[in-house]
Amino acid sequence: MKKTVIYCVALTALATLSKAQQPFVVEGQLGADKQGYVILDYTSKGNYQRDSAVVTNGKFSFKGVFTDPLYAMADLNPVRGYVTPDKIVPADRIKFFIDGNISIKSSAGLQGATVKGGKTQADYLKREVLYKPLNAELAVLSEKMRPLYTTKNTEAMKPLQAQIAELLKQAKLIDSAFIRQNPDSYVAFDIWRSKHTRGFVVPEWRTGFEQFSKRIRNTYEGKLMAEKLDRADQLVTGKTAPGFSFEDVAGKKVSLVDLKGKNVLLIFWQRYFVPFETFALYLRRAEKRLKDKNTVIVGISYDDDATWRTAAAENFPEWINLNAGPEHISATDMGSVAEAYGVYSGAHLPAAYLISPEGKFLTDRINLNDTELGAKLEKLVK
Amino acid sequence: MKKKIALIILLQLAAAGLYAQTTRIPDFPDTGEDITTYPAVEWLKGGPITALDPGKTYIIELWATWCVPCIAAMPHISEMNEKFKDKGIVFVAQDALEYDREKVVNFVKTKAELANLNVAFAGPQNSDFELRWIKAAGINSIPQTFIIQGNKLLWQTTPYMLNEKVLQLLVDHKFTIEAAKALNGIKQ
Repeated sequence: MKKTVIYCVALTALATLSKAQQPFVVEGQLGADKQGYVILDYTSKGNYQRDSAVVTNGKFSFKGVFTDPLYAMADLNPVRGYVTPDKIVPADRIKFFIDGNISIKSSAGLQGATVKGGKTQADYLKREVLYKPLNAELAVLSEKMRPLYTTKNTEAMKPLQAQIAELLKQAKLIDSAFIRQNPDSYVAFDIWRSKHTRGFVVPEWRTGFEQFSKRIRNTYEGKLMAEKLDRADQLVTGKTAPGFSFEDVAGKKVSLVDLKGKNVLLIFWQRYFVPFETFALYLRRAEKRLKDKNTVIVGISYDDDATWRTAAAENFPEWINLNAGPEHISATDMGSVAEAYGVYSGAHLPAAYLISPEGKFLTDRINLNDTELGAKLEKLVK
Repeated sequence: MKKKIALIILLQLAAAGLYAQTTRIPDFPDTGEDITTYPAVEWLKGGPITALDPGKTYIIELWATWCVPCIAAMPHISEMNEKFKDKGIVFVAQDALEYDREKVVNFVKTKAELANLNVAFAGPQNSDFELRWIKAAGINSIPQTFIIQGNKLLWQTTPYMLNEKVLQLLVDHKFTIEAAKALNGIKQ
């Protein structure tokens, strides 16, 4: 009995260990004439990392730690400082996955080097092989396009553009087949994720996400996506709107619960995005239509205090104007309220929701770039 | 005396400066709101239109020589014009979002589809049309289509939404955005 217990403990420890950080080494041997330095870039658990190593007679090495496989790029002697036309040289770089110890071998520079590593790197190479014929065709087409750009020969470009579009379509098919066939591959997940980084996370993404194995869904990025998908499920018609509490222009705290009994048009915004003027116009129009409809417009600003006060007074004097606070001006840390509403970065601004007098969403997230915005909201309010 | 005049001019300039800072271009009408005049433009064909006739329907088509989808929509607009110009619908092909007059004039000369349309050039930067229409309506992409009837803006849309059935709704004074969308297969 005791033995079993110990065994179980050992297994649990092992399981924990397998999710813990592990060391990696990247060993490079390029052509013996290569001197200088290599820059290594990757993102680990959402943090961008940059490392550099000296290259002596083609030899260099990096050390680091990883939990999930790291998509990395190595660059040999990139241009330092301000890039001027005379400094531009073709980049000598290579991309690969770090999932243990990596060896990079080449008789020349980094481009075209042989990179050997673990399973993820092997998957990555497998995908590159699939892409090879497409890339070769693309290279030929780009070469044909180049002189047409300079002469602005749009007519001659058209058939080439159509061919390129066809290649891109094939690339998409290769990707989706690769994802389907490799549900336990971090490379497949990385491809999928790269197609799902922009815009708002929507419940429709779940089917795609759930193609992946449990192991993949339990990686750092996998858990992050799972969390966002769960949240997206809560941000649709009929669900209870998350609470908030921020100070208005007079320094008074305003919370969502204070506004019970009224429709709330909630806008997350910032002064400097394009096209702000269109956004402001459509909302001024909507405001006119909602005037006598038991509705308040609440703006949560992600600007510094002065910018917020000026822009709010100029454009939205009738709104309840709140500011998320100086700690959330950055594009990356939007704070817990924005996060609860699926607004994860400055790129998601502006975003808007319509909340009923009972505190429930009257519709899914609102498309603000709509000439009929006011008319649509007018129909939705209670 | 001279000094006084100079001072007055200076004061006026200062006032103009303040005025420019504190006033915003009036918002372009929302759907259902009044629109009674057309901004000052250079009429390259047909026109001029200045006051909008409450008894007529206007379809204002925004285009530019660089706008490929706008040009692609021209044969369709021309065809609609042929079918509906005698039923109280006035089509205007309004060039905007470009300033090279020469280029626009030459383009209009060569484009057969524009032959029977009212064609206008907005003018240089900050022209009346640019300020009162493009900027006031927050327009940053074309093609766009504005439908005006009975001095009211009925719809801000795209040329793809115009078809014979939609235009017939206008002729019959039965137009609603919902009905027009339904005729385009868009469910509300």
